[in-house]
Amino acid sequence: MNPRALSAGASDTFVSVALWTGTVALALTLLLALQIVLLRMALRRRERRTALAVARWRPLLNQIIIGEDPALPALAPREHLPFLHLWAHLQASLRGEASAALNAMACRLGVDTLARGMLARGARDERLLATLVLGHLGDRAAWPQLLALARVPDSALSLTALWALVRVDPDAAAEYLTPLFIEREDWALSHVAGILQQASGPVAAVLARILPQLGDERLPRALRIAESLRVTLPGGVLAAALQSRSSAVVIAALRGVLTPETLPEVRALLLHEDWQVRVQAARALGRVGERSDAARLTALLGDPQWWVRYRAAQALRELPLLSRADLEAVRASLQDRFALDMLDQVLAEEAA
Amino acid sequence: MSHPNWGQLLTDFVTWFVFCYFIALNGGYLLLNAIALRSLRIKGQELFIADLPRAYSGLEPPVSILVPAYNEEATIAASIRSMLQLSYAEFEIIVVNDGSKDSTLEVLRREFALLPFPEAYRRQIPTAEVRAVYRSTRYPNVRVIDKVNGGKADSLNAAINVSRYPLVCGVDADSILQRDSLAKVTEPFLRDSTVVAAGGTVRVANGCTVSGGFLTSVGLPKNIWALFQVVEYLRAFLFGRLGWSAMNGMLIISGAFGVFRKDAVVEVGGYRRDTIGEDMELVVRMHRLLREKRRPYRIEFVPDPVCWTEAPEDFHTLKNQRIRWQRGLAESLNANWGLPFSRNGGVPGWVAFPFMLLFEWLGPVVELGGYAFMLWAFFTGMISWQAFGAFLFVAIGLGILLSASGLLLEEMSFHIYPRGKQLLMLGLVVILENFGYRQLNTVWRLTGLLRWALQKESSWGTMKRKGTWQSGASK
Amino acid sequence: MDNEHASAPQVLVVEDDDHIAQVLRFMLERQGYHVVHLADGRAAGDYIGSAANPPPGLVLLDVMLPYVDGFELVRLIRERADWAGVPVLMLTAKNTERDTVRALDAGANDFVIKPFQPNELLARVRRFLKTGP
Repeated sequence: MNPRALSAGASDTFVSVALWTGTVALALTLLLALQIVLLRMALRRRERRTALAVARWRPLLNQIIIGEDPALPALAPREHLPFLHLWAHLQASLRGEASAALNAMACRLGVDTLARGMLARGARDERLLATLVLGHLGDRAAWPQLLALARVPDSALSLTALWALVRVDPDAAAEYLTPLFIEREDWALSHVAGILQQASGPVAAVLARILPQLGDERLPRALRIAESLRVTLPGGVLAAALQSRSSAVVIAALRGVLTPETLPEVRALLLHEDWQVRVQAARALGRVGERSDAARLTALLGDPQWWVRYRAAQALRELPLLSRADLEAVRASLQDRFALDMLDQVLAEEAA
Repeated sequence: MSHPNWGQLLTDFVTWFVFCYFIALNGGYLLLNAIALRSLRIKGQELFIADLPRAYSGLEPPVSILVPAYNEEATIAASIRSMLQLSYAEFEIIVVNDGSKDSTLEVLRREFALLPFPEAYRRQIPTAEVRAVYRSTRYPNVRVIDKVNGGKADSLNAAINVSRYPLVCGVDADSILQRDSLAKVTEPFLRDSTVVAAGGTVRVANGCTVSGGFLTSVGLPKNIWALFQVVEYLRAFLFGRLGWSAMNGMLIISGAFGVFRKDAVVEVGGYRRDTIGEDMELVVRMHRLLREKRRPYRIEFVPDPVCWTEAPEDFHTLKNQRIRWQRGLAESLNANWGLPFSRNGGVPGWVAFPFMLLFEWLGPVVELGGYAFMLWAFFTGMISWQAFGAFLFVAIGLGILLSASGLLLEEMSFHIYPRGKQLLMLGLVVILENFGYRQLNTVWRLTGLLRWALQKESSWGTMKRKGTWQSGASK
Repeated sequence: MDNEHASAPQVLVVEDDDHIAQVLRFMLERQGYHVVHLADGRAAGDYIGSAANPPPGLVLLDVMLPYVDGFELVRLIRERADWAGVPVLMLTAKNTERDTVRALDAGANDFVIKPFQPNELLARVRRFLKTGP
């Protein structure tokens, strides 16, 4: 049998398959190259358009900001996005009369209708921008749409909608959305707190009302929201939370202790079995403790957990009426090496 | 026609095998890029919102930045100064002087006005002996640990022991960051409370203007090796990782810039001291142990350009780097055989690890073996020149397609090279890269694999501290 | 010394946000001031350090600047003898007490929290320039 003939036969399929694959790869590559070029051209076009729009509208916006009242041309469709970007950017940095003037300008140009339209049908990034604009405008007419957006699973979109709602009507937003904040664990506390700061009054009222009814799973988050807004909770609420069975609730409650009313409960928690509770109790004592608590905190300096020792030492340093001499006395009395080390470290930290 | 020609059959089999392997390899990476595309689309829309000025609310998680330093007297002060410029609400910097032989500690002492600090050292993770802890009187959030030499992993562990904050960020002393790098890379932790680690993208700084530790403008390198690496990073390290991240199967976080939940790192035992690829090994171990414990977690990748490093510009340094990376990869996989095909393996165990094993670990053997075999078969007449040509056409063509997809994703997302000429140059390099650089890389990786295999039995003592102090497993 | 010859008071604005910088420039020029704008901390540091530059009537400084932050710049301003008396108005973006305290401690004469009211900012600027050297 001729080996060459055999090899040629088997190779033939291989060659044709390989050639086909290679050709497809080549074609796809050319397609990708074309796409890259198109993208770059589109980018350039967008940049040019933005530059033109900004050049045209920036002087007018500046005049509006300082209180003048120039004649406004119509807003061309291709200028919509760049204008809204610039407008929103300026609004985010300004407040007061300038902000109100920008809003008036936007209404004269029909931006409110435009934004509401974008909200309804636009792509995700247009909806984000529209939400931002409507929030700055404080546009009541968009309330139902924004409300719907606040409930979507997409956290970027829902958080922005939330922010807008709070700006449009803080009271109504607080009422409707406080339970939502507590439920939506994916809304980072940091963002939620930043947004709610504009409506801390109404939110505090709502929190005070619903906290007593919340279960142990929701309570920690609700308490942390209250803490971040510096909301003073009604008397019994914090005390009840401090006595909860759930460690998470107790920890969140301890973080919110800012006044000495709940001092007895806090003191009891210094000996809790969960070290994280002891840590927070020590911190709380540092905030609201009395001179007599120095002994309790000194005892905690011998705790097996590093963080408990650390916070206890810091609390000792923060206690009012405890002078440097008193701290030195405490230091001299310590036998435990770990306690000594920790107190030394904390004292050194203070000397910044 | 009675007895079949075994030689020919074998040739055919191997030819087809190699062919299918190349398709699988490039196809796998193309698929990853396609997955990454989806993530990028979503990300792109949020970029605008993130650009608007926003007031800090003060609840962003504080971060301890860990900076291991060995013989860095020339650049350490500038690096730390630039890290102090990060726009982030609250963070601390812990520099670890790992028994440097030069005057690193002296430079730090002078530039940052260090005074000894009575740290109550917490031995959470065992480390080499810590001689002293210092604190800067000028910048109270900077502390310096002076310890006996123990390697980069050991230094990171010591820094973790001393850190105060719940998130730790491991960086290289020569990483060039941007002001919003920390904010960007901690964003996954804000979005999702199950995230235990987030890796930042590392880009090639060659050709960019860097001053005062910061990147002032982006440019393409002139050096050909660096150019190849720019395209290589786009092809393999950037978007591929985003694809894995979308499936929660990301096995590598670069040591040049990555953020971890401290409690998670401590729980899995900290960085491993006896390996070169300590950055990758930690992540693979986290996957393995967290999966064993059946705990919900995510390890994410942040595609924004946040970290820049100088890529090697000469043959030798590059070669040694790639050999080191391959060994790091091998060690990381070898230390975690409990992960692949385990019960609760998920994507890391059933897809990512086997993928790494087949295409990254074993890959050089098959790739190089494939090329070698085809060459031999061609020269001995076992296959026709058409077959050989077709093979090359496919191998190189698929490679170019993959590189081009990386470039496309870059253009769709961050398009950091603004000039059209740069894009053209990149396009050229995309093609050129596959005519030698990629193959050279395979040779280096094979060398790394062989060295690892041969060295496995002997002790690691001298090996781990040789060479320059760059990230272990991969960028 | 040179200010006596300049007809319009000079304001040095250091702000990295381009849009805000344009608003500030517009506002101040409308009032008749002469504006020098620098977009980052490094350029500002160089400008302040260069002896050729006469002290302006007022410095409007953002806190969050690339390369060198506002606090460092205030220190540089106060170190230079002929600039030591120049009023410094800082724009603090973080609305935390820490930053405003830091601003005043560093030697700034006043601060304005972002988001700011342009008219209020203008009023403060006018006050300093009226009583300036």
